[in-house]
Amino acid sequence: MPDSKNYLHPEAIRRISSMELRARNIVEGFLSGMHRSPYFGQSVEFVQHRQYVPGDDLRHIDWKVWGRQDRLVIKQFEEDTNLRCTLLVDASASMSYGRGALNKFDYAATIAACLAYLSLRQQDSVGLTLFDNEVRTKLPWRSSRSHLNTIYRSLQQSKPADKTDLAKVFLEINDSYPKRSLMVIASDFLGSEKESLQGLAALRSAGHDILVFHILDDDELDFPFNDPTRFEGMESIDQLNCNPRALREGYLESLQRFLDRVRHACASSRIDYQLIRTSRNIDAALTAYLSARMAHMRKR
Amino acid sequence: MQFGFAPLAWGFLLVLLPLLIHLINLVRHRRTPWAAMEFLLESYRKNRRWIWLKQAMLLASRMLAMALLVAMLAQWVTDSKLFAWMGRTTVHHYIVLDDSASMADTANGKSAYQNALTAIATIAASAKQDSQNHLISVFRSSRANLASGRMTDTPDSGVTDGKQDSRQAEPTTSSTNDSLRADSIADLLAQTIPSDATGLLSKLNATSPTSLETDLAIPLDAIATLLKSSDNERAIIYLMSDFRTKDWASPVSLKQRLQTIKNERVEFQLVDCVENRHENLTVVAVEPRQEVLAAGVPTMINVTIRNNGTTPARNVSARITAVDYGQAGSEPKPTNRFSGLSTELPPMVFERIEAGEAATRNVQVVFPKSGSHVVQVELPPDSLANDNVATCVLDIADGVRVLLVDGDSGGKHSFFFESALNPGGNAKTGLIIAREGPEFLRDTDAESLDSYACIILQSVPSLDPRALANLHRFVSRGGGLSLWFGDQVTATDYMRSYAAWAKPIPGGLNETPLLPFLLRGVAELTKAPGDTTPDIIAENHPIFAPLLGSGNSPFQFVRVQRFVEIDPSSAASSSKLWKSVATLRNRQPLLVDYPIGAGRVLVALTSLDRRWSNWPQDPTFVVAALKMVGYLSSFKTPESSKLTGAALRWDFSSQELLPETQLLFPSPSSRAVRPSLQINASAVGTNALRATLDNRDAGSSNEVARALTTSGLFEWWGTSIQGDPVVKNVARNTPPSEGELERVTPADLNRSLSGVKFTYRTAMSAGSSLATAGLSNRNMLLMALLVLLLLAEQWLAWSASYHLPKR
Repeated sequence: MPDSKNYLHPEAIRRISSMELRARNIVEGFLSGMHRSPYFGQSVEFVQHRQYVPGDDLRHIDWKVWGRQDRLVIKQFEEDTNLRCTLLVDASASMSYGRGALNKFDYAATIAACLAYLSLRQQDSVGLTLFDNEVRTKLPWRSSRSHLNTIYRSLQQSKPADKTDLAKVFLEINDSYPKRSLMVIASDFLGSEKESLQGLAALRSAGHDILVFHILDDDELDFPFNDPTRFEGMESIDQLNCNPRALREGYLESLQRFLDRVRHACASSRIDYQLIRTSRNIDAALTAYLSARMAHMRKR
Repeated sequence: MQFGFAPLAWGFLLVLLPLLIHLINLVRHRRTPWAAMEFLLESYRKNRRWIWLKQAMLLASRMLAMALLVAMLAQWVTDSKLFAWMGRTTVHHYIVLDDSASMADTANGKSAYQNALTAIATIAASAKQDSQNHLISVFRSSRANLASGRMTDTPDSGVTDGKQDSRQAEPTTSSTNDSLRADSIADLLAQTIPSDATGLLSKLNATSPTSLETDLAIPLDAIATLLKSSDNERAIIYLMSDFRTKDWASPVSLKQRLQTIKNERVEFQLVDCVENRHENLTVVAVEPRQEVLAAGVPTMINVTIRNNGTTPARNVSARITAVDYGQAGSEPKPTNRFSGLSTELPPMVFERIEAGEAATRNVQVVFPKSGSHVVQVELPPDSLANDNVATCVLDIADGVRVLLVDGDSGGKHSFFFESALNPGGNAKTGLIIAREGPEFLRDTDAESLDSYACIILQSVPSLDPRALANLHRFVSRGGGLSLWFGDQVTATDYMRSYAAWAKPIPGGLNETPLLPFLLRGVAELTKAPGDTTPDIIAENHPIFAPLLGSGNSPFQFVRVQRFVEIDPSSAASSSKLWKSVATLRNRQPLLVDYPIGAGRVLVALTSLDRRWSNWPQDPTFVVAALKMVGYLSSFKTPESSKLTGAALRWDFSSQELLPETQLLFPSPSSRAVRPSLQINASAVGTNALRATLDNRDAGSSNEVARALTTSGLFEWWGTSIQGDPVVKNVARNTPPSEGELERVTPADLNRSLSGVKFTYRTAMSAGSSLATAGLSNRNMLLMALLVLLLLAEQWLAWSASYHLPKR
């Protein structure tokens, strides 16, 4: 039996061009690996039976059927929508950086697609916002399956461009999503740091539960450059000719301070924070999401 | 800046390589879009200056490393004191340069001496390539030998009144080796070798081999003194010579010097300046026979040529030149080879001279007038020119005065000598005969006796002590004395009558008595019937030389009846003092020859009386008498020549000549004007003047040194009171031993200098080890600098984060 984790690796993901297939593959693979169905059994309306497979929760076995027919089946119920999930995906120019299998935007979009698929499978309503220095695409909350295609299309058609202005975007989102929801933000947070963190805090103070996926490329975290290089700003006109090895230490120190500040700001606002490398398997993001969803549900 | 391999100096352009690579890297950087520019710029702003400084230092270190590498490969030579200071020790090159006559040995147009000069230049050049501090001192062996007094000898003539020359009376501090002052004998003393040593060596390069025979051990004394006063330097002592067997087969004194000097700081290098042994002919001697030298009397000159080669020499033609200085109007002629009238005689041909053998021929010369005449012999050119010419000076008088003292008042004993020595007619012997009685010896003074060259005493049984003293002084100062006996003494009185002769003369110039033995008395020479042995058996002696060529004895018809017998006991005790040159049939001495001081005595132990012997009636007596007078008078004649380096002296009377003199000496080149020296004579007694040029004058000027080390004819011109030029010629010849060109092998050197560690090199390879060592030292230093620099470069590179981080 192939290891389900293999389907979560960015190299494997890259080979699947369709966002829909990609999301389904990831989520199904992820869930099958958990040997547990976390999103059924919350409603009261019966939907169907299905064959029991090892790993299913014994609580959902229909013992009456077993008593009559001597076979193990699982009862499945139609659940009501019980969560509003807002996916905020950074589509600024800096998100297009990446020398690995996926660039940062691809990685963020894949996460968003997976979460949308996962949420809609659980009858949650999902909304999507793509932004750079302003909101570029905004999809309202929907819980229908057809909404998923809209989300996929938006993600696939979007190309990273322009600068990031998180403060402005967060303010705008705060206004456009008045109901409290679980907001999943996938961004590199490269931009005006102070304003971005203030925007996050504002979202949080509006009652939203926030899960931050801070997505950075390996190059940005490790700075492995050796040869003389001209670095050209993706969201600015700055250029720098340098020997990267000479600046590496200072760069990493500055970056670490930045990450610490972001992490500290999230923690102080009780925002879930995940630093994601684009080279990592995508299950980390899904796990983090499910944890955040559970916490959100408990609070309700 | 100089380089051992100058073409490699172009490699310094590689210094620009790191800069070029740096510039290329600046241009050829890869372009990368970057999102996190904020942090990169922050790092850049923070580290900009420090990074720039490190990069500049790194670039400089790489350029310097490249420069050092090229300098090392190109063998950089620098005058930089700082560079020299970093690895320097002082190396003092002491060079003992053999400039003896044999160093003129020439092959392929280059003499051994020139090879030595080239080797010195090579050493200087090699030393300059080295990073050490190098000093050079050069000692020519001739200067050291002259300064040491090794060349000092007795005056040519002794016409003084017995007072010592004031210069001679001075303590000869320079004549002792211990007090040899290096600064007075060194051509170069502890000179720092400049980058261009041409100027430094120019004075040395202007020198040439002398005509001296020198001892290399003497300059080592001065070097030993210098070494004692210099503790902090390494010394290399070079002995540059031609390594002839005569000098190096058993160099006892040299070995002693080297063993005295040797220590761990001293290195000896023997530099051989000759590649091969060459054929060479040497004029060993040109000298008149011991005969009467008088105007108009033929003089026989013996010429001896030695073949110092390895193959027989055939048909050697010697050029003979006779120079007559007796002509009226003679005056100094510096532009001529000789001031006198030179006549070239028919060449003397030696048909064959075996290798290692000498051959002697004679030539007859006649000078019609008195004067200081010259005969010069010259051989065809060969590898060594110095020994191809030899000169002799014949101080010929109008006549040679001979005094006959006869014990018989009628002079009956002198008849035979007067007849033999002055036969009259056309026969000219050059002798001026005077006859006096025994009292003359008592009444005259020593100066009057000095006018005679020879005194013949016949039948003078007893003499006044004053007469004996006069005779003793006469002989001691070079006079010749012949003693004959007679009937004036009875047979039994001989021992008593001649007892005073056998005692040392009170106040005499030496201890040798006039008779070195006692006389026993008269004895009869008996002859057995049928005994054909001649009564006189002659030994090989100059007075019998013309008589002893044939197989039969020339004395077949000579009869000796009586003879004076020597006391056997005294004969035995004094046998070392005298030599029998003719014996009687019974082996008893007949003619006895012995020296007293500078003179000579011949005692004939018989008489010319017919009752004693019939020899006067035999023709051999005339020959023997003339030869005897010539032989005895020759000791008063100045030496016809001396070896180069001997002092030049001229004694004359202030009543005859003015003290100002001019010495014309041989020119190194036959075409040049002969150089001259003005020498003022100094007083050495009443009316006696002496002009001198000896080793103590050697340091006064180069001309004087050249005069003392040159061979050939020295014309010493003075001016008479009347204003006429007067010449005294002096001949100085190259020591014949310098013509012996046989060489020792390195193996022989190892044997003869056992116990002394040395390096043997040819002149071509001199200085090579130094260059290698110097190069090695410098390269080691450069290598060390390079390693340090590369370490610094690596540290800088690491510090500038140019190394990949460990993963």
